[in-house]
Amino acid sequence: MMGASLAMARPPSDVATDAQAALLEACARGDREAFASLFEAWKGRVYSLALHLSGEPAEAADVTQEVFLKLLTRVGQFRADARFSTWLHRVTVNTHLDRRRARRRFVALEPGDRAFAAAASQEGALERAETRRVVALAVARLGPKLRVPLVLRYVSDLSYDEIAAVLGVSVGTVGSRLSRALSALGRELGALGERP
Amino acid sequence: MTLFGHVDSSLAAYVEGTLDDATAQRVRAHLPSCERCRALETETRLGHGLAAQLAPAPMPEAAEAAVRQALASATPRGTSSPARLFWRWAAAAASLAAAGLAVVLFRAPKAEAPSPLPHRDVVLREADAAPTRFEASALELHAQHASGTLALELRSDSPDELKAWAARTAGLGVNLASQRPPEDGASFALEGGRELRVEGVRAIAVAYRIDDRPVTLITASASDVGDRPPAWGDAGKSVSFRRTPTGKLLTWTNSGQVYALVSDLPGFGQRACLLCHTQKQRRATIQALGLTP
Repeated sequence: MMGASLAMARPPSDVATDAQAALLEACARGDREAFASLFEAWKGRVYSLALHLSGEPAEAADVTQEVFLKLLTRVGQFRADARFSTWLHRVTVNTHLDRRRARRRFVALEPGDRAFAAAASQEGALERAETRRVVALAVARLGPKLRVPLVLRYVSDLSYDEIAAVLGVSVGTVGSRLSRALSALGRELGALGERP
Repeated sequence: MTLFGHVDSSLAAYVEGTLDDATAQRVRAHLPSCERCRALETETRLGHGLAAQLAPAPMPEAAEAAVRQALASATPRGTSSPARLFWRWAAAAASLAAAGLAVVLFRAPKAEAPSPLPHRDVVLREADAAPTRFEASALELHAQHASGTLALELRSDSPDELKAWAARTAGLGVNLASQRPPEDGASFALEGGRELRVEGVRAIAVAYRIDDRPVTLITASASDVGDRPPAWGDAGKSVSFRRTPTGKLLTWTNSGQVYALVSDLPGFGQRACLLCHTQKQRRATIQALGLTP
């Protein structure tokens, strides 16, 4: 089969795409549709990251609100030479950490909380949902240095490079913290992980 | 590796299978002689299996309405009053929706913004049975794609050329969008396709990249594939989701063909669907997908 032109994928880049840059510029000009598009595109990821960092749905909603308020008022400050995704994840993480420091206490989910587990009608699905809830609670109990990279990796699906950019640390540090986080999780819930 | 040769800091990448070959080999060589690192490797592997079960959680409607309300009270610096009115309108509409009195329409005064199609239109369910042979083939191909070893019979970034090739080669349809929306930019890149046989069943694989991440789509005639998701119809659009070490797998049956889509894109990998779906409402529905009980 004769092929046509070779498909050239865009190489990885740290800079915002042209389309993303145009959207952000429109937001900075006060374009309501542009900001609506940004909100629709990112609200789920911001909320999910905040939920798994805090372990609390109400706190996650508050963090999400604060992040988008910051975005609304600071979008004009976004530097075109940075990736928007990195910036937004960093703002979300820092907002969570700032609020947590201000509160100076950790409030775990109530045992009956279903924030992480969708209701399920089948036994297998129920067990998976319960496991997911228990794991999420354990993650939320980790110290921030271990919790943040673990959530960025396993919930936000960021690469080691992206996590390093969000946290302002080296890739090696990301690997080290992830290793410690997973090891801590395995120690605490090891029996759960071994269930058939 | 640490000063004393221990491999703690590499274990996360090692259990994920993302270490480069040389480092992975050093870890494998170290473990048999180090009880400490072996114990850590076991814990890390258990932790990886547990963490892999974490999933994005959808934002509750009430929480979203509250955020919109808050945004309505704030405006970007230098914006005109229509923007303020728009956010207040959106907040009011969201409040009504939260009270169950109206459908939330994110509507601008002049142009209509997309509201997602009702979620009951698309039903995303987590698979609990073992992967079918069709699904396993998709995962195998994706692993090749991700490692750069997938051989393509047709190399092309032209949706029309790929569609014609799929129809000519296997009599199968691939609904690739001929025109990309501006917001996609250069994020979507077609690479090509190949024909394959899955237990004698003729199928087509399409390789592409989104945000520079590999995505693999295979399709075959539904009448040839057993154990497939239910066909779309009046009862809704059922999509099966499975999270695997290779990637996130979505499968569905529509218009006489079975599809399997594999990627490591965020969430449920649903952004991979945007290659074919360019209509705003459909895109909003896809990106808002969550698991259905």
